[in-house]
Amino acid sequence: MRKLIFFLIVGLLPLTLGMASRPLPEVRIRKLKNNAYQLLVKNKPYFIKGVCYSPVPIGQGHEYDFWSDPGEPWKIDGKLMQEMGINTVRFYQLPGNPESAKKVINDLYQLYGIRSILGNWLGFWEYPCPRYADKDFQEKVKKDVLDMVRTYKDEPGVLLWILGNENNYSFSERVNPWGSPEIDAITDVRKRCDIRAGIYYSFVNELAREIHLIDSQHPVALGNGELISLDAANQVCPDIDLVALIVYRGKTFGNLFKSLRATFDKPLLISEFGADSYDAYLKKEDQNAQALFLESQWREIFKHSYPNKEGAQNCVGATMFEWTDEWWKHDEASPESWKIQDTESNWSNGSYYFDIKAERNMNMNEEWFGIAALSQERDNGNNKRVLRKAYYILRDYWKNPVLNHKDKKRVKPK
Amino acid sequence: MTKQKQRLLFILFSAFSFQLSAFCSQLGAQEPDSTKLEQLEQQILANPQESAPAWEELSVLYFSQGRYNQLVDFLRKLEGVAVSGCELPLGYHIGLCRYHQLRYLEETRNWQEYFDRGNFYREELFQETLKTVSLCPESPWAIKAQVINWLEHKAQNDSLGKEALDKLISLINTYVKQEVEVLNLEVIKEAADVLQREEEPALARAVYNLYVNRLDGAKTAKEELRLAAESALESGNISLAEIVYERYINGIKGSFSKEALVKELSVIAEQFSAAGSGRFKDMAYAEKIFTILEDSCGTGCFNEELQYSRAYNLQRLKDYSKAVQEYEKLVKNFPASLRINEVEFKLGALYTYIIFQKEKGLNYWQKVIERDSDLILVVESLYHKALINQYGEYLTQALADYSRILELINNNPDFKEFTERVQRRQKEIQESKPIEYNLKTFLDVSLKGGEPPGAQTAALDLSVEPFKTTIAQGVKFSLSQPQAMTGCLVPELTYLWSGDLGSAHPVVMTPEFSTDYQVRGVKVVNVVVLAGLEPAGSALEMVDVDD
Repeated sequence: MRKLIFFLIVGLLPLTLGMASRPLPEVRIRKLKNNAYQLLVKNKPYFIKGVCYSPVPIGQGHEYDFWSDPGEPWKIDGKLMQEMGINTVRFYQLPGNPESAKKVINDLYQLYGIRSILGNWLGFWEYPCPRYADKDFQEKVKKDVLDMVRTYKDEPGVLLWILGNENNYSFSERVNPWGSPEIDAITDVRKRCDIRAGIYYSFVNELAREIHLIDSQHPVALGNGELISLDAANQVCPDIDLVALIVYRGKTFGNLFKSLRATFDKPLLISEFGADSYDAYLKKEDQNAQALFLESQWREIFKHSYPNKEGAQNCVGATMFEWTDEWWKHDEASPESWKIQDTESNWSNGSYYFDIKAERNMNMNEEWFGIAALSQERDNGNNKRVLRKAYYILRDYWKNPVLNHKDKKRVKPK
Repeated sequence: MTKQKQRLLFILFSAFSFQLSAFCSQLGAQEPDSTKLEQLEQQILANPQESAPAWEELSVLYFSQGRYNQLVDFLRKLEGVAVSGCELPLGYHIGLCRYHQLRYLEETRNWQEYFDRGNFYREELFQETLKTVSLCPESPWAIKAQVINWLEHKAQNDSLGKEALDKLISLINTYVKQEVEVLNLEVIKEAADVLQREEEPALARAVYNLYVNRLDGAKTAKEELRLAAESALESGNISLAEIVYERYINGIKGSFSKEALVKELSVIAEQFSAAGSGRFKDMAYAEKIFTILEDSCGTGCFNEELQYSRAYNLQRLKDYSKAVQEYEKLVKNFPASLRINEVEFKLGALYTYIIFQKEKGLNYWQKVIERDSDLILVVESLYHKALINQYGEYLTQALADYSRILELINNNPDFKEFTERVQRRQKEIQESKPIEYNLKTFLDVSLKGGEPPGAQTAALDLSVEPFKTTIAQGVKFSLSQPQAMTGCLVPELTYLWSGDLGSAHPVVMTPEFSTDYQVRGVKVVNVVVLAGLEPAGSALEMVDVDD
């Protein structure tokens, strides 16, 4: 018996030591016994209080390389974000020059403790369309993604990767429609949609698998518009670590958290949501509505995160849209229009009920989503930031994030 | 203090409560005269209960400069030396002052003070308004104070908002039970107005009902009710006008003669109906009155004009199945109507393109053609009949009708656009080409009936403004954005406009266009929206063009 114990100890010792010496990933997701998900950074809980960051100044368009801006706007913004309580920014796509991006990521992290989520469009805006059914196109996108991972994976400020954004809306052919001879031959639009979903999600899963081979330290998220088509992802995406959803449902996310549990049970990052601060019906700025909606949305985000038993406990945080207004968005092809903040709406969403009575129900004002407005006045080359009410509301809310509406009692005066 | 004086004070203070901000902003940046302020304060302190005009002047001066803190200081001083109780409830005034102060800070985006001192102001507002409510629960001040209390909770989106609203409704319910002689009905109406403005329509309606009940209870003459409704309508308060009218109608139903009732109900319906001249239209409400009229007196009491008005109102309401029923009643009961051609033409379009009963539609157009009494509607009916035949590949009949149109038009230059349209159709047949793409796509979608083609098709909301116009006067057709699941990405939609587009040539990227017409008649405009290659929906709209 003693001999047996001796051999067991001797035999298992190297294995045990090997396990103990393997470091845990810098950023990882823990699944708890009750199926709750929790994001850990350096083995400590990390709840993402984030914002989408694209500091394009007045008069510039979407191709502007803010990463190389000599005014270093991220230093102004990083300080304000830190004071507000933001711990994460989300970048949609990285620039051609990695050195400039590394500087921004490092400055934000070293100076203000803000981590970066790095994204890739996966060729969604490729002209004339993203050809996800084409192997050459897939290879091109894969190379781009893996180059990104190799380039930035060792930057200490990196939090995680997001693959794609709302690319799934292309399945229904209403946005950036793509096909192949096989898909185009199918007459049933729903079948075409399902086949596209299968192709696209399989490809994203392949990317996730290959990223993990290169980088074991950061999770990989699947970017997706709403929950649409995620049932298809559930079949083919075992290598995806979390989902990053873009959700515009107004004041509440409704059944989003529980529905995700049922369709594709992965940790959830709400990677884009928010409210604009322009009332398209009354045709004037409405900071109150924006602040009210954002506070309500964040309340739900906290409610559905670990350890709040009332909620789905699958949310690891969110990055709201967005830090500053972007004046180029209404008409991206017209440089003249980038110098004015357009009040015409580009899209309609009935969940933002306060101004849905606007003409033709066009109520979403893409150039007015900033937590900070931009002033024409410049400071060290940067447009001065004019903080909106939402900034202060969320700053105060994050100090004491009560879980739901009913818990929000009157705050005692200072 | 006499009741009369109390009432005067109340009215004076009420006058500047919620309207004050607007009034103050008109004053602009006037510097308050400190001597004047001092004089007014002294005057009020010396005799608080008899200084209503000074009160008003003082408040306006303070508010206009955003000097809310000074006003609160003065109110506190006043509290120390003079009044208490319900005659001059300082709690309400302090609450009101803080309420306006918070809005002022929001308006001026003074977030520093708003977030540093806001909770203090808010707490004072809550405490002071509750004080008034608890001290004077049966006074109109309690209602006014509770309105402020609720509005602030609502602005805060906190847990006490619902409780505050319940309390407000409870106070109103208690207050209205008092004797009519001591009631201040304006306070109830004001509370209902606030509820309406704050998007609590059900509660607003309930409170308006209480208000009207008491108006009624005050033995208000029916004539006074009618005037009250007209006045509410004139001021744009449609909800209140409708409630008062309903009360008025209930009153007159039993007492007016049949003729008088018909006349009165017709006048009311016309104020709200699409065909009427009222400024604030509520077509659903107009139909409700038409239904009351029918229930009270039967179909027989609808004269030709009224019958047309009801049918037209339903058409504008886009309740097409009911609209065709009412238009058909007109056809049946008033065959000699001067509108018969217009009505039958519209029946043709509604049955053919919207209700999917093509044969019925063709019959109505045939009647217009055979009657041959209105050239414009005859050629339009011929055109649509020919178009349906062309689409159905009955090309000989279609060609015959197109030729007949050109004969009838006889090169009249007023029909230039129409002639060109007919010639394009002829050419398509002669060259064995399909009907032009936009129009054919519309016919594909609208003539198939039953299950709409493609899983994604839906009825779209196409509207025209104004829906009655005259020759050469502009109209605008616009299509509400179809709710597509594309998040914040703008869906790539194509708008295929067709039909009688007047002088305009809208492009496929535009969901709206403006145009005008050179010939009177009923102009039919169609649109199909494509998402990718699939139809996402279709719509038809008609505009009436008069000479």
